[in-house]
Amino acid sequence: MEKILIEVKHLHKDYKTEDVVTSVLRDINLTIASGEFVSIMGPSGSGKSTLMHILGFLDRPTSGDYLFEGINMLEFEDDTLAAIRNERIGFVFQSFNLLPRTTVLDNVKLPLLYSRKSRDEQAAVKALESVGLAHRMNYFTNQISGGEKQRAAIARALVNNPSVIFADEPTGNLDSRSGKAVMDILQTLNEQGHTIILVTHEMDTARHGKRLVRLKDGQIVGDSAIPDRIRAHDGVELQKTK
Amino acid sequence: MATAFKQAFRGLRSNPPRTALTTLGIIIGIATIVLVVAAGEGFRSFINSQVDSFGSNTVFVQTRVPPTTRARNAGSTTPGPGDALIAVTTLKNRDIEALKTLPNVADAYGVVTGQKIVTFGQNSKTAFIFGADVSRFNIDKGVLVAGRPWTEAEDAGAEQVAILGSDIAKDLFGEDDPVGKTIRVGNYNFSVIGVYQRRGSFGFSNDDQQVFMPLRTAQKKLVGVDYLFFAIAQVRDSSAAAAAAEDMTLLLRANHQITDPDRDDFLVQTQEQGLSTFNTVLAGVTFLLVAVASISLLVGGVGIMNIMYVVVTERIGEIGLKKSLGATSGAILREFLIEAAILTLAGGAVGVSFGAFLAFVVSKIASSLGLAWIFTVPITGIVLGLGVSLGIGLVFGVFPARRAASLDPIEALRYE
Amino acid sequence: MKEFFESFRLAVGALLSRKGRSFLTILGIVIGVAGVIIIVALGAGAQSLVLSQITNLGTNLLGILPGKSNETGPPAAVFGVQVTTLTAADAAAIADKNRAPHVMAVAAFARGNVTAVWRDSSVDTNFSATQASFPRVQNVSVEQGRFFDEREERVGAPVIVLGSEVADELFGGSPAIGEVVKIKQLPFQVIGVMKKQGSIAFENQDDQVFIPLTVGQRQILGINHLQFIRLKVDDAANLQSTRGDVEQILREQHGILDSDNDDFSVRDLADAINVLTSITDGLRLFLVAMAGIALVVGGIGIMNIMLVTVAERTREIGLRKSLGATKGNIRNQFLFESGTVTLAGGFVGIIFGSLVSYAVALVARRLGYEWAFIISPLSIIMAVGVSILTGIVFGLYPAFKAAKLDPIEALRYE
Repeated sequence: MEKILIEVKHLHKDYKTEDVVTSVLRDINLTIASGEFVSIMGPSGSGKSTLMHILGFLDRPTSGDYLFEGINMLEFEDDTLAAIRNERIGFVFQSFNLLPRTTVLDNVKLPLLYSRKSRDEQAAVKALESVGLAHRMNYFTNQISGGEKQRAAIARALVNNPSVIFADEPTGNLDSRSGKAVMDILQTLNEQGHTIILVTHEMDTARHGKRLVRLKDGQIVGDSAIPDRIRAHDGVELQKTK
Repeated sequence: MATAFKQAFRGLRSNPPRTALTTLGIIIGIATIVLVVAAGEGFRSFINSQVDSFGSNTVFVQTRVPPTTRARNAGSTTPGPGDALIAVTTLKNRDIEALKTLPNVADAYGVVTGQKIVTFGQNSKTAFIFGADVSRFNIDKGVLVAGRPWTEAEDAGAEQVAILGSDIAKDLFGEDDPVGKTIRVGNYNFSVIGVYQRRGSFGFSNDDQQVFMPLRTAQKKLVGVDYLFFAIAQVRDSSAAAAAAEDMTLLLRANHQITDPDRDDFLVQTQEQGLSTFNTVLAGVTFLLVAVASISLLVGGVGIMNIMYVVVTERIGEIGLKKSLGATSGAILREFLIEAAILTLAGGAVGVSFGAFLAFVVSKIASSLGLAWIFTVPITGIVLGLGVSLGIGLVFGVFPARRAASLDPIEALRYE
Repeated sequence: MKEFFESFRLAVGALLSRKGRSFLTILGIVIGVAGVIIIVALGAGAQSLVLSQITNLGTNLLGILPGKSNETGPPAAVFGVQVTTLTAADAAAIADKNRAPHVMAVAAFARGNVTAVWRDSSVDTNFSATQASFPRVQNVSVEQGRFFDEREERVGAPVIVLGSEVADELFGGSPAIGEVVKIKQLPFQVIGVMKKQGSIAFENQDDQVFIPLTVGQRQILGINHLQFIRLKVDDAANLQSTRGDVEQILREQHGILDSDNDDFSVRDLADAINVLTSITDGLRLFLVAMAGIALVVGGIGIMNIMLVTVAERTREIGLRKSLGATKGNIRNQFLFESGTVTLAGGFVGIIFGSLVSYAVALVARRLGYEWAFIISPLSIIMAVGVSILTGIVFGLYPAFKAAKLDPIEALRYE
């Protein structure tokens, strides 16, 4: 029986602007266990990004409960949430968000800077090896391709050994070949035991996961296993970790 | 030109906090300069008004320690601090009598001063003694509220009569009338023959606390000298004061058998001449302060340059667009230069107002302390303030403006 | 500690990545700090110049000046008041060992200006009519011949001792001793020439002549009073008690019952120094404050640029927050940056300001002034401290603004 990682109950999120209150998420109920690969899919405006932000402790719900590893997160202060983000969560963004004029290695090391535990410098190198980018360690961000940038971002997400990796449209800014490589890495990581939560609006991307959660107008309208899962593996070899 | 202005204003309005912070430096620097200039002017008017209280048309005759041969050879003929302790005993009563004979001189009186304990009954006080001849009553503006002036006969006879300043009268006699009573001044008994009206103090001298008596009484009996400490003369025509001073100088030189003007043991100065030294010193101090305040303007200018570079970088795309629409490099240059100039000029205007306000506050404080301080903002200060701020904008803004003007339109449009 | 260095490294990296902007920002601080350093150093140098004139006088001396004045203010004579109650009898009373046991020597002075004539050369100079005790009071001695003695002083003998410069001026190189010099048609025999003393209390000690007190008073000035009295105390520790003794004696001499009615003032070197330093300190403080305004302006520039920097790095801030940076982390990161800028500017400003002050001191000394180049370690520490403080104070607002950024908004920022 896998451990329950994320438990969301009756989650609501409203945005207030002047007198108008917009409901972005309505009565979300979701349970995710460790080791899963969940794809959250929906059109733009469905609230999927907002849900990811809340799950990733970047935002707070208006009401409802969010239990992470069994503990209710809403009681925690901002600084504590930051610490949790640092240690337990990894983000991969659509636009990579690497620091300019900085080496790949320094970029991957960035989470170590804010880590409260003792830091393992070697973890950054290992993370780069696991995504096959160790040979680009000392290159600057403007010297590598888009696919390599995203791989660096994944390595950065891995460096503190997180419980879950959130990927927000990770292939949105990549050509199809690089995109495939990135999805392959995510699937390999999942096979190695990492929990992946993928957010996208494209079905073809979503089908790389094992479970599909569909959002529409702020509500979950579907939550089922993916029958015909796409494997990104063919043609791209990667090293194994763990 | 007009487009440049419009564009510049648009630019400045786009980020109000940044505009405010950028001008703040200029505001502070200009305000300081205007404050210094205005306060200096107020101080100058205050001192001038003090001197005026002696009566217009007055010329001062002081003793002076003549510079030594060594000092003259070295070129320094100004008095040093040690000169205060060197006695000059050459100004005599007969010199003043001679001055009175000059055509331009209406009247003149010589003075000796001292410090003695003045006693009446149980009350005693150390007071300054002021001995002068009768002519003082013709020249000085003091008013007697009781009694009478002393006469020439009393002066010639070194009679022991005295007129009290209002404060010393109160200290010794309270509310009683001092006239006719006998006081002790030093070792002598004096008969009080009059009391002066209250005058208030001017700078270092306070008539109200002094005891006035005939010149020869003071010279022979109290101070023990046969010479004068200084003299005051009144000229007939204030516009001819300088000429009168010249005449007086020549006469004294002849009387003292001095052939070389550098060796004068006296100094004759009209009010204006006396003030000119002060004014020169004040101008020097003002200049020093303004120079120090200018450092902050330099720093402000550097800040302006820094921000304007940022502005240019932010608007690279816009510059490229404008150039592609036909704007010349000159037009771009003008636009950014004017933006910088408006920035600093506006800061200068606010700075001038703020500095004037502070000077006003200073003048109010001085007035409340009883000093006749006039609040003026000299036009020179305003022009200086605005001119300098404009200059800073142009000087420090020209570099970023040139960078903007020299941008290649294609590169600029591609910039991301 | 390691975090400190990391943050520092990060700040330096950020500054180096934008060289032009960092240069200009630092330049503003450099100018401000250099300005303050220069003014402080110049002020101290000028003050030392003034003070050196006074300290040459010696620490065991007390001066008695006519006219009552506050010890912390200038003497009454400066205001034009001439009080004539100080007499030779006062000096004699003070010299009485029974009344002022710690007084080693007393000299009374009357001073004026004269023209000294010898054959066909003449010199305008000042004279000090004083007593035989003068060399003992002021620790000076003759180069040639001797100073007049007590008998000559008592009878008012027509003898004269020349200051070294007057001797040069009047006699050229030829011997002066034994020659007759005329002052106001009166003949004086030269019995000594003083050793060169230089300038003390702004007076050229060598540009004067010395004659017996009574001669000067009666035959030249026509007065009975003194300009001042100087006395030497046996030990600096006894200065204050001797001051009390002297005041007591003078009050008795002048028939004064209440110290409020004193017609004299007794001063020592410390008083003179206090008077001068209080005047000059006020002026210096004022000038430093004005120079400090430049630093404030520099700080405003820092705030302005840091706001720009924060805006430009919004994305980066969002990213860092998503990686677990707290508000405090972000705030400190930018405070470090502004602090580093001002620290760098402060260092360069101190060096530049010191160089300029040193140059000024060199020039002044070449012109013959005893100008001391003073950069106290305290002022350097303060300059460094103020620089860092400026960076932190003016960097606070941008740093807080950065820390408060919502990570989601920040990540979306274009």
